[in-house]
Amino acid sequence: MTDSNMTSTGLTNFSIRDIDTLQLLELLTQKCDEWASGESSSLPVEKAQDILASIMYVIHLASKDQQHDDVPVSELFEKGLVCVQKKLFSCHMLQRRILKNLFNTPNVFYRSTIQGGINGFFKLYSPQFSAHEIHITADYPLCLGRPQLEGVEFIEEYLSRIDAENAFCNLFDPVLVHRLMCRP
Amino acid sequence: MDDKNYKLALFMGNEPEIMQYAVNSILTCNEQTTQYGLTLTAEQAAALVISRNESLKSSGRVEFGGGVIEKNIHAFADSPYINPENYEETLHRLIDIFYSFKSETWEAVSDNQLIEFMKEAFDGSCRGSLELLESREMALLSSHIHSGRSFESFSIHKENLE
Repeated sequence: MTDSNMTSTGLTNFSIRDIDTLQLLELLTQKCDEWASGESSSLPVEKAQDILASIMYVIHLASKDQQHDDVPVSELFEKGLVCVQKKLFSCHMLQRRILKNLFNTPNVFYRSTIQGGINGFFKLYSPQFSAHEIHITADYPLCLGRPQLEGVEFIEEYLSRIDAENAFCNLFDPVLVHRLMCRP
Repeated sequence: MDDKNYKLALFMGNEPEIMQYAVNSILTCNEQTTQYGLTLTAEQAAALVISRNESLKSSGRVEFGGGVIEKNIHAFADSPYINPENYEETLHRLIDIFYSFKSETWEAVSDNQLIEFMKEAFDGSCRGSLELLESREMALLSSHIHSGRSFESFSIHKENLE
């Protein structure tokens, strides 16, 4: 389980070998116990793998901000959670800004993704147990392409790109934009 | 090895030190079960640990906490359908059934609730039959959970069926 899932988040900043495996497993044990609310002593393998992937994702965020040599895994994880919270705050601000000046378009996916979809992400997102998940389909296809990221990083980048698209489109007459988009 | 390291070690497989810790833990149960004429030897305890690991593997689960074997021993020790002749084999089956139940009930039932349910069914409607416990009772409970109902509502639902 540990080998395949330690690489599942596509970590590039550091080698898996840099992480103390025993400390990592200790944290995994703790998180599994928390997920089960102390009421179960076992989990499906898939769930344990998910939790491990989540831990690795959070640690990956922490490692971007600081040197991770000799830093206890639990400390890296806590710092990573702080990074996640900062990014979540950034996502809330981005969403608010976009919705305040939302480009007027008949494209239903545009508003439903930014409002309903992103709200769904905020509701479902769990930094403690599934930090690497996106939970939503993010249907609206971006002009700048779909970010190749996971978790809150994906949402932050996705919203940044929508913000740019929205600002650009707002420079033009919505009727003309719609006419252009409908041209064969 | 303290309890925290043991829980961690469960992730790491069949290390000799982990095995010994688990065997010792099971053997302490003899203090309580002796009054019912039930005891386990070190070899039998080791066999139960191996059996547990195989059940975990076959049910697609990983254990991070301990104590399931001991909980089953304590819960079923006073069963009128368990005697020294069938004690060891029954425990093997109960542990296997336990993990099957955990998977079939989609994590909706806690360890303690499940063991209590198994004991009640084993001594009651199953009249000591492990086959009925595994097939009939598991089918009823998992069907109840799969239909979106809670474990707490199960016994009430079953009474309505009867």
